[in-house]
Amino acid sequence: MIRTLIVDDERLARAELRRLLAAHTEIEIVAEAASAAQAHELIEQHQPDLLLLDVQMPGGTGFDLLESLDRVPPTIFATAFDQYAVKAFEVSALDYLLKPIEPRRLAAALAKAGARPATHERAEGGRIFIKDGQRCWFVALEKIVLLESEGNYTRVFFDNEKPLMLRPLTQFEETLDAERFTRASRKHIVNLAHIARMDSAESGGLTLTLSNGLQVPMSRRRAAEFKGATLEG
Amino acid sequence: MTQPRFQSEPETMARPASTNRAFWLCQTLGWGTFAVTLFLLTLFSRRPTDDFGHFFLTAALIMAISLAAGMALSQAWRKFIQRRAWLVRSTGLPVWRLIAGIVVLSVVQMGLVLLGYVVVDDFGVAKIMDWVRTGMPGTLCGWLAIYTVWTVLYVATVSRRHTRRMEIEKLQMELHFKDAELRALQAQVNPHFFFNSLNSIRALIHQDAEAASEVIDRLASMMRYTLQSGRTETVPLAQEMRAVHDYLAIEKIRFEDRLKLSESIDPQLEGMAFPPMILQTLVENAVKYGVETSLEPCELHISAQRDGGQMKLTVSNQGRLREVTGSTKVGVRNAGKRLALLFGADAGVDLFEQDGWVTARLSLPCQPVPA
Repeated sequence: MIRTLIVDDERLARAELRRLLAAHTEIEIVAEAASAAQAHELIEQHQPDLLLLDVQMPGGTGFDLLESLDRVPPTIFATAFDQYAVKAFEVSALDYLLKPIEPRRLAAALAKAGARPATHERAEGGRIFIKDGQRCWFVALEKIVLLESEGNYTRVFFDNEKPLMLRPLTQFEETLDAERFTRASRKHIVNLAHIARMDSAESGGLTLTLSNGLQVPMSRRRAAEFKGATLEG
Repeated sequence: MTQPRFQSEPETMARPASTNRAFWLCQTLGWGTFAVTLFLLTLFSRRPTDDFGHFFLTAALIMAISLAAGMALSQAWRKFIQRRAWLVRSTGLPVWRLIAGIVVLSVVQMGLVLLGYVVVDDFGVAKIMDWVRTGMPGTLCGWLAIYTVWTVLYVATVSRRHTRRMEIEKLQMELHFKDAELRALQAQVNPHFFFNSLNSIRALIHQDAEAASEVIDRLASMMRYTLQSGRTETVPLAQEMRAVHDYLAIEKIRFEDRLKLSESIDPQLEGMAFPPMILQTLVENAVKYGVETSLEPCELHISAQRDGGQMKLTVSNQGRLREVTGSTKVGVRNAGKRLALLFGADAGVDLFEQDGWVTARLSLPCQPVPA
């Protein structure tokens, strides 16, 4: 069963989705949310395998909701007409549906989203959702090279992109897997898999060279902890 | 490489009477002043031997001939220039032709005046030959100068008037295009609304077929009105209100209890002329930025009241005026531009926030729909 959450502010639109989904026996609707805030709560509570998400909602868009989540469940967007949203979808890799939703399109999207059991993905890696201006990305955690603090914001380096997220670096430190990410300095969290070289720095710490060519300093104290941890492991 | 040339109407057509009057005033005053001055100068040049009565009469007659010939010739010259449209061509002034014309005019004028002397003053052949040798070069130069001044003044005046008229025509053209553009903009169906409505209708078909068919009727009626709105400048206010009611009935199905409506419309205003889609645009804005973004139920109030010769309409929604997005105001701004094109300074729109309500207020002259 694919445990699914429907998020749409219009009751009729939710009813219509429910009706369309009735034809798909593999879908179990665990809850319905009428706003981004309510959806956030229900996601924490139910940990659904699939999100059917409207874009324009009062009190926060579908994008805002995804951005507020530490781990994003596989998501299918549904929108009536929203040229910005459509542009954003083009950037991200996930599927989206236009309302009124064609049953055939819905079946195709569900097949895509349900193809991999979502539980595995969560264990393996997961993704985060980033929105910077009009552009959106679903980024697999293993692709992230570096997170750099900019006040209350964090710049995320992956591929050739470096969008800014409204979330402080410390929040990432709490949620990211310590086996795969380490805090290199007050300003940086690096992905261990993306460290290409380590050199001793004059300060007694280390200079990390990352897979994208960026260099990040690591303080003496953190370097000592890091060496200890890696030697033990 | 032939450029499309602006084909202007001949100068003689459709000229306002005031222009003609101004021309004749200048013509009479100019030539009159000239003739009187010349007459006085001639009187002062009288030799003591000349008989005063005869001299006075001769000078007066010669002046009359000069004046008549001058006015007739310059008027003919004006008609000639007009017929050939020399001053309204895009290729510039035909300077050499104008100069040739001035020379011909001066020679003819001089000939006429000489003829006058022959008739009035008994000029014999000997006296004429004598005059040709001594008096002619100076006289010719004088007439050349006078016709040059006349032509320069005439050309300058007409050219300036022509330029101004072209500018006005250009502005009117721009205004016309602007109006058409704005109307086309407002006659567009909002796709976000349209597809959401279709989605509601499909859900309703399975829940309440009767309600679904009513929404389809409303949608059809509203779409028809929207698509036709580009064709007429004004409609009765009642017609615009009908479209607004159709629209709100559909949104009510979508938003249910989240949308609350109230209205106070002066029934006497229902037959007044109203530019189509302007109120509709403001109501759509209120729903988009008020109801659609509000978690709580949102009230929307529409009013239309008479205030002297003006009608005042307001569309208010509970909520806050957002400054971040410029798009909030595009609809309001376009409505304002259309009102300004139609009614000038007598009409306008403004948008403000007060006590938790955002209000778009528009005022326009109270006029019945033209038959």
